[in-house]
Amino acid sequence: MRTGNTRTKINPQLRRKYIWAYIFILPQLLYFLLASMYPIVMSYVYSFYEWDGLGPLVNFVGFANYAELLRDDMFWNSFYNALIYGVSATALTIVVSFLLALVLNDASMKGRSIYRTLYFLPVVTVSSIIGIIMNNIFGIQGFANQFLQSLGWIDEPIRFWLDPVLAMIMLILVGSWKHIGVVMIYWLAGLQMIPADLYEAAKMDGAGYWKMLMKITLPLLKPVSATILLLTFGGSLHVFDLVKTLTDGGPYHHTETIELFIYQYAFATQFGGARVGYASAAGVYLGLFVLLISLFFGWLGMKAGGDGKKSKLAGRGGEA
Amino acid sequence: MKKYGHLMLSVIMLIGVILSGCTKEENSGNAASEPKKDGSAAPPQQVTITMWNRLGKTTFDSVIAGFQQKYPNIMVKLENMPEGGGDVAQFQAAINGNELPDVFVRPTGYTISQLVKLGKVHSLNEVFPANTHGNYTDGTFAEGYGSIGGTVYTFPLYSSLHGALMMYYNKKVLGGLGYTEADIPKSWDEFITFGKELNKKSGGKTYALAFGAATNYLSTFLLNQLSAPITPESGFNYKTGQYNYNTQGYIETMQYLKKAYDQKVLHPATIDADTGKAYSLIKTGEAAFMIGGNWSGDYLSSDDKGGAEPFTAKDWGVVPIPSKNGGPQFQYFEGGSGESLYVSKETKHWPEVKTFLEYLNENMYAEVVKSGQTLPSKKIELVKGAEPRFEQYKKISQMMVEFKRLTPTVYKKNPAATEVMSQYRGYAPKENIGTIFLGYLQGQLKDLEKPLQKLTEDNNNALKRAIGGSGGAVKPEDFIFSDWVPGENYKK
Repeated sequence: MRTGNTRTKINPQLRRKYIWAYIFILPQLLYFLLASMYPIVMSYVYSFYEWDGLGPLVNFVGFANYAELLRDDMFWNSFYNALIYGVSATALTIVVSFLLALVLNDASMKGRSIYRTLYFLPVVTVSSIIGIIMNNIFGIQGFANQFLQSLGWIDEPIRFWLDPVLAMIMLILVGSWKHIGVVMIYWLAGLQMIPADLYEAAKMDGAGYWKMLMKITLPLLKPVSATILLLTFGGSLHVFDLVKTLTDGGPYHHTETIELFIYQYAFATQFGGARVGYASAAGVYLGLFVLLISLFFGWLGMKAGGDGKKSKLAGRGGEA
Repeated sequence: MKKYGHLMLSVIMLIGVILSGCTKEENSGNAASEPKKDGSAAPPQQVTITMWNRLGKTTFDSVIAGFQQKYPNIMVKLENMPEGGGDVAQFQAAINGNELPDVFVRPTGYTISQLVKLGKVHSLNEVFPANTHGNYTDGTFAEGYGSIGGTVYTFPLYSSLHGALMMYYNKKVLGGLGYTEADIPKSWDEFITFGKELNKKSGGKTYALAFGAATNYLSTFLLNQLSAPITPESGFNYKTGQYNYNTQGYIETMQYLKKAYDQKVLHPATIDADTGKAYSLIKTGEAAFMIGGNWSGDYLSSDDKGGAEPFTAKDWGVVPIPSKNGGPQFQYFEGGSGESLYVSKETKHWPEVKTFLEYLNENMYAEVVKSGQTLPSKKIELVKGAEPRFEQYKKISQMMVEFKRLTPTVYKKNPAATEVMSQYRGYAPKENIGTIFLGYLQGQLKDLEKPLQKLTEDNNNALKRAIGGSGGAVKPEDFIFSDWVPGENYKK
């Protein structure tokens, strides 16, 4: 290790620790390289070829797939839909999960673990199963319509999945409901990092709940919130299985997201042959967009005090 | 340091052990018995051949059971894959990783020429020598469909007439409302009137018609079949060598079905129903009629409880779908077979696979007839000892023949076009008549001409691009057949 022109020797004990650490992460690292890095790298390679997914890569087309995508109305439509879904689902998930976390973080609340489990259940339920069930519940002949008709509240069934705006709203609601549980856990982790003595000191100074929320909780959660925002928004842009089973991009492409667009070109060959190169180029665009968003949120996190200085201060009971 | 070396080695060995568990079980033996040293025949070695099926409900199970009895030393491991295009990723991985099963149903979206070009499929000339081709329906082994360069690569399962649509009806519902088959109208306008009357008679409980509009292939087939009599040049026009979707036939058919929906002749659930939903609607009597394929009789005779009582073959009838003027309707087809099997070029058990295919050739077609799913690839008069399990099969078969028109095929003119058509399929828009129709039915599209014109242009541009990429091996003129008479069987 070099620091300027001097070579500093690593402490042998620390070196041993490093070696052990590397040994322990080796299997996971190998798996990561094979199962994650290799496909990512190859998708970049494929994007420069006209390739149907079979056989050798022979037809090199340079940036033609990228250029064609920029002229493809359906690509922009799916990108726009993904953004609408991503922004809305993120906003809803972040707000609702934060409120739930605040409630469930209250030590005096009884049955907290039961509520946490209940809110977490959708997270561990398979998205495609949720999609199929919800599609049936809110279908033309679904339970929701039959129930409302039996009450005499509606004469005609509500076209939950057949109205573009309603379909997108439903998709956002179901998608948010699915992920609120896990984001709530992130918030809880953040909330539990805030030292309790800060609240005690504030109480002694006569601060009420709202004042503590505005002056202690929210400021100290800023660095965490940037990470949560990044994870939630990035995840939302990658929505696929839910859209596939809930709306399949309908009605008439109004909820078709970019992942579904990619899938249709790579695998869904009911509309013709596969174009894996083209689909990969779309995937690269999505990846670059997510990278930009990540950088932005990373910068946001740093601005919010993500360097940890404030947290350290808080940890020492200093000024937050 | 030595300690770490040992540990590293242990970790690597552990990974090796884990990964070795992922390797495919090899079975390199073959079923032929080799003589023992003492001269007596050794018991035949057990061989397992794998088979992938993506056709959903088939007769493979029963045929394989019969095969196992006759050849206990050849085990056929059947793996049912997801339907509706869900097989594509699995096939892509298997083809690229040289992991194809010994026998497989044609993958969705990939053509015979692509698989042959990659050297992935085994010649089946030994199973289907030229002197037997006459035993199969015309065009089964046509160049570009069943054969490439004169070599047969496909084991044809279903007749190329497979895919015809018809209208099934619930006898109890119709009888209960005082109708007989003779009362079923044949034209569009009459059917709308009839449908409204039927709904009124049932007190709003029963709608006239349902079908799986959300099932893309069904909608596409339906539009092709009903629009062809109005504009026979719909789809691909062999006279001009161009695609044409912006036709009166397609527009009028879509408008009629929308009108039927708006006037409550079509069941409200049609708009978001798949074929499975349509089956349940007719079985429960919520719909009196259902549009289905020639295979639907098999699904309607499965004795399961759609409603309170079992629904069996005696509970349904079948008639042609009403057409614009009550006249004939038809779909075009180019040859080949409705569905087919391939054999992997890398199979290690060709002798056993050949034995299996020969057994299938002898027994499969009879099972297809017995099931009532469709017409087999083998000429029906040559399929012995096969009694369909419902009497409507004969009528369905007749309609299949009536509803199909043979078209010219570019592959006969220029075999190099197989590669062009593979390219075209990739460049073609991920949109078709079925998706446009669903958008229109659901009220998202008001004007049909614009999207249909765009579909026409996108398909023609895709074809032009694919032809351009052939380096002059294929020309636009190869797709033009001036002697083609729209709406008639192409006899050349």
